[in-house]
Amino acid sequence: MIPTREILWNIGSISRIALLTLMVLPFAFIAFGLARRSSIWRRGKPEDRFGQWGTRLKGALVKSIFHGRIIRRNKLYAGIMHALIFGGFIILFIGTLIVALEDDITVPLFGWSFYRGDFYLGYKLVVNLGGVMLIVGVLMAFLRRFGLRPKIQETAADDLILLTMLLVLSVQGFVLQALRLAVERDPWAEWSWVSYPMAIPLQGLSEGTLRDLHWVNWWGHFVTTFVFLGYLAYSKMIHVFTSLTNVFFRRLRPMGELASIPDLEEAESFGIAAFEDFTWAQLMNADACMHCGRCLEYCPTFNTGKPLRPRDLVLQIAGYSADQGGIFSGEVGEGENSARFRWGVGAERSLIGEVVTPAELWDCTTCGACMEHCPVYIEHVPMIVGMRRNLVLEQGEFPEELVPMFNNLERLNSPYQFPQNQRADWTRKVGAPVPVMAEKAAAGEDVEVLFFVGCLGSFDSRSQQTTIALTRILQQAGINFAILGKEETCNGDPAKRVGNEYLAQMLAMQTVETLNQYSFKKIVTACPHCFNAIANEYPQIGGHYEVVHHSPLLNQLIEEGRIQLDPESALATGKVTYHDPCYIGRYNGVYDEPRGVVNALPGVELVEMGRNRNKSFCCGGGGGRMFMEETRGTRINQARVNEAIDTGAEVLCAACPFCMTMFEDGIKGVGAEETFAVKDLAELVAASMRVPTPAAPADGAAAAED
Amino acid sequence: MSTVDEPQAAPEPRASAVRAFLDEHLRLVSAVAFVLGVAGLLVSELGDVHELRVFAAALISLAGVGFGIHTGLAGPRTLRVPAWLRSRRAAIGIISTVVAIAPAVVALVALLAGLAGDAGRDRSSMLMTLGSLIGVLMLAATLATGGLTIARINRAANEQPNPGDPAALDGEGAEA
Repeated sequence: MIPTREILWNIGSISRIALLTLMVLPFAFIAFGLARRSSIWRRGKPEDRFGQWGTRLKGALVKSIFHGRIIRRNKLYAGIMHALIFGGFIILFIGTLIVALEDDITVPLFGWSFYRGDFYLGYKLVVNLGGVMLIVGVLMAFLRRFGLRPKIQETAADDLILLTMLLVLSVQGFVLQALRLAVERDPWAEWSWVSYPMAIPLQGLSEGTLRDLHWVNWWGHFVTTFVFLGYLAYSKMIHVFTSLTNVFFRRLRPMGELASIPDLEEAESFGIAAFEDFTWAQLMNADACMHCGRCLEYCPTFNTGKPLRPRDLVLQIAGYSADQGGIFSGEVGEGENSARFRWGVGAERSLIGEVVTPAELWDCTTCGACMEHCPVYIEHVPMIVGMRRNLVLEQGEFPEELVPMFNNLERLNSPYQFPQNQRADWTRKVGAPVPVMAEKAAAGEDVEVLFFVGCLGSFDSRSQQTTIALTRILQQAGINFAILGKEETCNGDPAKRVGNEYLAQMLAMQTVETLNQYSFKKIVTACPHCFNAIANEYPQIGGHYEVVHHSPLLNQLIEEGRIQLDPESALATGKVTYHDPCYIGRYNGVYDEPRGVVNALPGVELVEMGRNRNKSFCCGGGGGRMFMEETRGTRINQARVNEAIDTGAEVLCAACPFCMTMFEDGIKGVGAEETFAVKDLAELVAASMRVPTPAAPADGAAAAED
Repeated sequence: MSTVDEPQAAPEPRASAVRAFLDEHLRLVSAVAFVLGVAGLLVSELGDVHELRVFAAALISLAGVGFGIHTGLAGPRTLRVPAWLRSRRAAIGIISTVVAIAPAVVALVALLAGLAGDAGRDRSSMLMTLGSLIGVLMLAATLATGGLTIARINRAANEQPNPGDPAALDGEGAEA
């Protein structure tokens, strides 16, 4: 006997006709949902997400299909759970296709049957495995939602309907198989390693009962499958399509690059204030959300009790978008969740105010943790900044604390109220002349490195210590560098992140104009915000420069032995913890070099905070937040300082003047001024640096003579 | 015979002609496909012409896709069927869950009842135990997940709408 089975055993012609005729329904529902969603996306503004097809395809396969961005080291449970559900479903889906291929194509058309023999036995083995994977994955999901209850997880009826349907589909499959085996008693039944044991107790029933149960379950399976498929495009299961599409069409530009408003002078509207203001890719972003909540895990606003929850913001936009497009967006309950039910409320709602609140928009620190951890590459920050742009440029509604910042940027080219001619006053504290580009150029001297000091580094007394430290290091390493001095202006980042694109572009173009006057090989800066703007955003306006943040430069100087570290250093001893600034870490991937520097410091032990590297927790100062009051929830900087203190370290090492300022305040806020300090990487290196005293060269010479 | 060159329309590419025809007549084409598909299916199954089955099924599937695309790409408007489904979503959710789990639950209960049956007395006790265990686990999982789902749908349907409305979330930000 050749192992095989009768397809649609116990099912008559009428049932088969009904099955195939009713197939029109799930196909119509899926096509309607996808067509309606694509028509929604097509109403968005154009955005170039085309080209680099190979990279896009590879990303979609690796990051999505093979779970490269879903299974992460600290997300093993959720990742494995999803992989089991996905893998199980795919196996069962392919299994169904194989049966259809045999029954509807190869046998009736070509008289060829492949669903037999070893293939059939292997098929049974694998399909049983697929069913078990699906059941285990669904049960893990239920355990997570009702047992483990991670704080980022919310459970709506939609989630449970889908999970239950998936579980039931698999259970029905096993039951059908077991009922057939109980009647047929195939000699190879043990290959169906789950349903075969189930068939043994079922053999205690009469054949008629078994056949009746089989027939009823077959119809149950068929109805469940069709309901599931029909519901798919209107529930969060739409992510099967939209997430994959979103990953495929993900933005391939640097993460730190915020797109400018093109033709600003000619623009008739600014930013995002209505549905049509989103780009098609942003509307697709909203539909791609699978509600997992990973964007919340390291979000500084969610974790300090502020209204902004990146997931809810995206889902609010998705609900708004669904209303605009006239599509059912899947939530069963009205009010079970603060964001997801908000479809069907009405297409006439205003985006800012009724869909998303200004409080949510202004709380964002633009740290990028949401985007970094989103498995499907949703970009929350550009949407938030887009809506901020409309509030600032069109509605003139923004926190009043931003007024002095805008005024200072306009009048003084800096967010602070210091005249531009005082920009280089810090150089007096260095103790040695600091070369200025204009003078070097006038003298016809070449400059290797332009040190872009930044506004905080120029004016803020605390940040000036970092600037002075870095200057001394550059001098000690013998680097031919110069500063812009009084010619330096704000790079535009604070204005850009709060939505004042007009001011940001003005400042950026002014800076590019200044930089283009001079000849140098690279720019070094101690400010990640300056670094990100110059490296990632200036190319949009014709500024192409090699930029390096001071942390990789310091690491390089130490590795090359261009600066020597003194083991007797008093400042750098004991435990030090390093905070990854968002704009250098997450946005630009600089994680190892700063750690290399700290590890090279004699007598220093680097201890990591729980949230480090790309999981770093923002200081609370990005996105213009440093210039605004933090009135909602608890303080972000204090949360981070407490985390640093908990490591047992005495020093918190930062590499960003914004972080330094926020942490200085945070340390005072938690009352740890006496026991805990924040230092910039450059300060630690400068303090540990062996600086030749006047006598040293003689000693050195004597040693050389010896 | 005219000697003046008269302006002539450029020949329409075949693909865009097909597309224009479908744009205009997609619903009709879908309806025809559906009718032909069902007819083919009847001939296939009742007349034992099984070669037709795959083509009939394809026509029916394409008809569904055509209907869906036709209504989906139409401008946003209130459609009666989706609106009806939306207004009864909680009831549909509960009924669907019950319909989905009920047959499997009955079969799994029958599996446990089958332990006491006398047919096939030569059944291996180890396999009986294993089968029963699997059956109990599947029954428990089905009942638990189905029960939780029905309870959540019921709760969701009875909760007050619009808690945490963005407008009421925080007035502070709106005033900023």
